[in-house]
Amino acid sequence: MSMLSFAKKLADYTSKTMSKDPGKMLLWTGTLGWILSSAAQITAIQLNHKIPKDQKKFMFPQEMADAVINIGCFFAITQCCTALGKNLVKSGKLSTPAIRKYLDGIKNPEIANKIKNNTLNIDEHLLKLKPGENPKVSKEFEANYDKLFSGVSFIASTTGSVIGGNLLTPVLRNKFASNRQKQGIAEDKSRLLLEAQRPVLPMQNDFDSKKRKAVNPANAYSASVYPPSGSMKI
Amino acid sequence: MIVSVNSNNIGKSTASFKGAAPKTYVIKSEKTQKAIEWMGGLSSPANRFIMGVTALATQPWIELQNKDVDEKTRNMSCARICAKIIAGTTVGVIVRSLSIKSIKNFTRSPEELKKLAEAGKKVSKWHTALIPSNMTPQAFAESGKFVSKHRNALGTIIGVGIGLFTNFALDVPITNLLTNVFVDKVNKNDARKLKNQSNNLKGGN
Repeated sequence: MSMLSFAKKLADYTSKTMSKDPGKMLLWTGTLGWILSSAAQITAIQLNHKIPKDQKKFMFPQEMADAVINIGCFFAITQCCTALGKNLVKSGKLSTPAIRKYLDGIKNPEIANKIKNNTLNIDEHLLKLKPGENPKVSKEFEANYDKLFSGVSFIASTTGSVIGGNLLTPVLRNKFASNRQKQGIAEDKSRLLLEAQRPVLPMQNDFDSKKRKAVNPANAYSASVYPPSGSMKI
Repeated sequence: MIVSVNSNNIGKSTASFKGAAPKTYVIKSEKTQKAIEWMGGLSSPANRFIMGVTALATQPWIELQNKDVDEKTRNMSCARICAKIIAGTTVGVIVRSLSIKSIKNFTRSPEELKKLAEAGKKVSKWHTALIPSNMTPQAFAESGKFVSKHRNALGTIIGVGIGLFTNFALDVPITNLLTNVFVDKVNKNDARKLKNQSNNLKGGN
């Protein structure tokens, strides 16, 4: 596939899926951003030759767990907020006087019934109607609806991102990091206790201090070295 | 039941909640309507900026409230998160903005193509490469707000891709640089506090 046809396909895909819906675009590009950012962090650890292999064994799953928390939390909360905001507008539950006036004036019994029963989907039931079909959808209504939909979609998506990415994620991440640290320290203590019970050979003394750090890499990379640095995407 | 929403009665709904929320909200305030319309025109750089500002307002506080680690770790963590937010937001906003701007070059209108040709520049297929194939350049140029929305969406997608490289090339070194600056400040503050405390003790004796 040539670069030009790839560009055309990208443009077609974007126009079909995201161009009309800023909330959806922000949700998916935000999530993609988190995935790429996490991938960069994990790759950085794997490619860093200064980090010993046994420490990588600890840091790799830790970064993976971080990535799952970051991506999962961001996606779940943003998705919920965006869907809620969009559904309020699509169903006509949240509207402006101009939109309300149009909806209240619909004579088509099927659509009027849907409005009455709160089952209306403006996208599906009104905007996809062909010219000549009842009710007639004016350009003015379409423009008003588009303004409200885009605005609410952006607000809902941004609110979700802030709650998910800036409030919930750092709290969960800190809890996870401190639990992991405590677990590491406890494991290390029990191993050191076992080692202390073994007879020590004279040549082993110098080796021991290095070995203690290597017993559990969680301690070598404890909070003082790699503090829980929050969850901000870089 | 219809409840009108405007800047005077948000949060003071007059609806009776007998087992269910009110069914319809009408935004009557023109200011609120205009604010919503304006936000609909914003895109990912604005979203990234809002994320950054709110992150700077909340995350350092969350880090400082983390009682599971000692004070030194909390301060270090706070310094690092501030550096990460500033670096990430600055680079993120700039990359997304430039990326959206650059999309304009690939979604030219017939008038712009004409101007290019008049200026003696070569017009290629690339100048309309990112216009959806079900639209002619003319129809695209006349599609109103769809033009900016399409450019925003494409620019953001490409910006996220570019972010994969800027994460390594820009964010990481800037974050490290700022972290060192902030940690130095924290250490200097700690040293000053210790000095003041020892002076007070000496004065007391």
